[in-house]
Amino acid sequence: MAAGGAANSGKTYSFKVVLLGEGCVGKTSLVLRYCENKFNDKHITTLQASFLTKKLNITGKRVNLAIWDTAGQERFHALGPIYYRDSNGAILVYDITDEDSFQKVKNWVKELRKMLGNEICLCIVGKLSERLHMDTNISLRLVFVCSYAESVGAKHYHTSAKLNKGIEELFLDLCKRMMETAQAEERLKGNGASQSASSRRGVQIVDDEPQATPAGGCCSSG
Amino acid sequence: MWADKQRAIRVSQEELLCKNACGYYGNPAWQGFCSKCWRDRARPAGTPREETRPRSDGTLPTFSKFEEKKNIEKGRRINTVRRLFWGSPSPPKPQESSESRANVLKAYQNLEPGDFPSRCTAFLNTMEAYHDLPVQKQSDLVQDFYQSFAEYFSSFPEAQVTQIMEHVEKLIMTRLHKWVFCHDSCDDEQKDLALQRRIRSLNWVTPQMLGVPFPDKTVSVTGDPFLPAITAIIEMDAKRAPQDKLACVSKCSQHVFEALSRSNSEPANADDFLSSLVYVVLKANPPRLHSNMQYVIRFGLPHSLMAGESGYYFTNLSCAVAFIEKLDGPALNLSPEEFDGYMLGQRTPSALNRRQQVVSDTQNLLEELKGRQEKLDQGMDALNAQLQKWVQEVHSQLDETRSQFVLAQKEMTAQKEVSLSTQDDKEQSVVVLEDQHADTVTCLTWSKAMS
Repeated sequence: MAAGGAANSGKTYSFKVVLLGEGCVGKTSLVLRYCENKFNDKHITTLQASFLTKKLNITGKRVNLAIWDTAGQERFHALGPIYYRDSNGAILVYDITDEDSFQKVKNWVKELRKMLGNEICLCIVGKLSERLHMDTNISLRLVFVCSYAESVGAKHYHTSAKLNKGIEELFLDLCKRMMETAQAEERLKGNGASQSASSRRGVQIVDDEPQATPAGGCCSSG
Repeated sequence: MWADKQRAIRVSQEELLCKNACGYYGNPAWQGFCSKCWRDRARPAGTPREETRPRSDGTLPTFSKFEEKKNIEKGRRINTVRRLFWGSPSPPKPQESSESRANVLKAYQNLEPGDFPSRCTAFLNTMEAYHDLPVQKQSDLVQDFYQSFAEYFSSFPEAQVTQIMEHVEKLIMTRLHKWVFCHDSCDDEQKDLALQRRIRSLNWVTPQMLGVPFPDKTVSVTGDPFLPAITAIIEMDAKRAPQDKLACVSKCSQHVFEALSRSNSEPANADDFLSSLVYVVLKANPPRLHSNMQYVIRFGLPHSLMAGESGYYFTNLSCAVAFIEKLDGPALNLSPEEFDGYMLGQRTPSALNRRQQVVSDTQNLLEELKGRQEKLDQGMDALNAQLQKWVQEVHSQLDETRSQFVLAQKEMTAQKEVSLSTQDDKEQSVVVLEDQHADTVTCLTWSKAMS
């Protein structure tokens, strides 16, 4: 919300994207592949893969993407809301061959929709192991997952970090959707042009007015 | 005559004395009060005397009504100013200082918008005058001030505005720190203590329990690899501006990543990072952690708190604290009974076990060293004895050879003497033989040279 408000039309958009997924599904390699264009390489420059940024230029508009990795272990599950507060997008990663990791994704989708409503753009990403070949079994499962994703207003992708397949498209698509959401929000805000203050402050201004008016009335009469 | 006199007396006694019956003389200009009582009456209202004088009709009810009206007017003025400048509700204000506050606000209002130093000063004065407000209201005031400031610079490039705002935050909050940090109106102090006690009760948690990738072998050599991170997080309390506190959190996080990179070749992910941060917080037990975090949340720039790297690190710190507050057995791979046992101190913490292990290891090592030392001592003694023996042998050999030498010498001299005597015999025979022909002088010199 704060990031969306900071991005005025024609200016730079800043988006926060959280990365959710179980510990072992390979979130790290996905995001490293995208931001550093490296996979399992010795040339990785960063010490960490938990906070990464990427600058993009989409249809002439600058976009700053901040990707927040989240702790995916079960014991850290309760901390989710602290991480995805004020985020514009979420990437939910699961392993195509691991049914449990997909169950986790379902839980997260429910949680995110409950906490952040429809303002957040969701991407469900199935990680494909490079050794795995597409057989009918997996294709069937993908069809099922795609229909689930549609039903919750998310988009489904399947990628392989090793082959750099589908990662670029995934992030580009997500950015476009986040821009659309931000623009729609701006239009909504644009109706009350005088209310340039952020929504947090806005509520309190309303509080103030009824308090002030009776004071003025009292004075003029006395 | 009598009546005149009587009236004159009555005037001097009832009209001239102070209405307050304090014993001093009153004055019609002060509504029949003495100067002291008049001032006492006038002060609580805080109204300038020039304004009251024209309306002075001497009756008390009118006066108090006037006072009431003045206050209402002032309250309205404050509300208007506040609405204009901050757009936030006016706080409930105590009556006695309302005038000074109104003046401060008036001064703030009259400033030119471009006059930043005075604007900041005026804002600071306002905040100091309002320092007894609930802390949430103060936070709103500061955040609104940031916002109005940033809006003024909206035509500037974003990076520049960020920089300006950081300076403004530092300036403002360094000054306001003493007023608003750990404020009386909230229970930060209790929460600080609770958190501190909680962390202390968890002193038995080991890195292994938290799943921190911990390089085991280097522990005894270089100490805790997370020590720089622990130092950085403790330093947070010493800083004043929220951004400096955030910088400490960032520094701590960087140290954590460095420590992690030593035990793991891959870039650290969020799971490793968060568990390490939990470990660091448990080890450090940073002073007033809750207050510090609340202070940053309330008075920090929203931009640096919500987005960017510092925001990410701060979020992780919040997560770590939340995790510590809710920590239970399963989160550490312990059964609830084991966890309770540790918490009550009935179970010997495995950390203690480990330390005991280290102690016994060291003891063993010392024993071994002692044995080796003894061996060495023995060896030294043996060598010493050997040496002495050798010396003695050498001495005895030397003595032997010396005595042999002496013997040999004796023998030699004896032999010489023998040979000499035989020679003498020969010479004497020669002499005897020659005696017949030559004198004995040559014979004497010969024998002298021989001896």
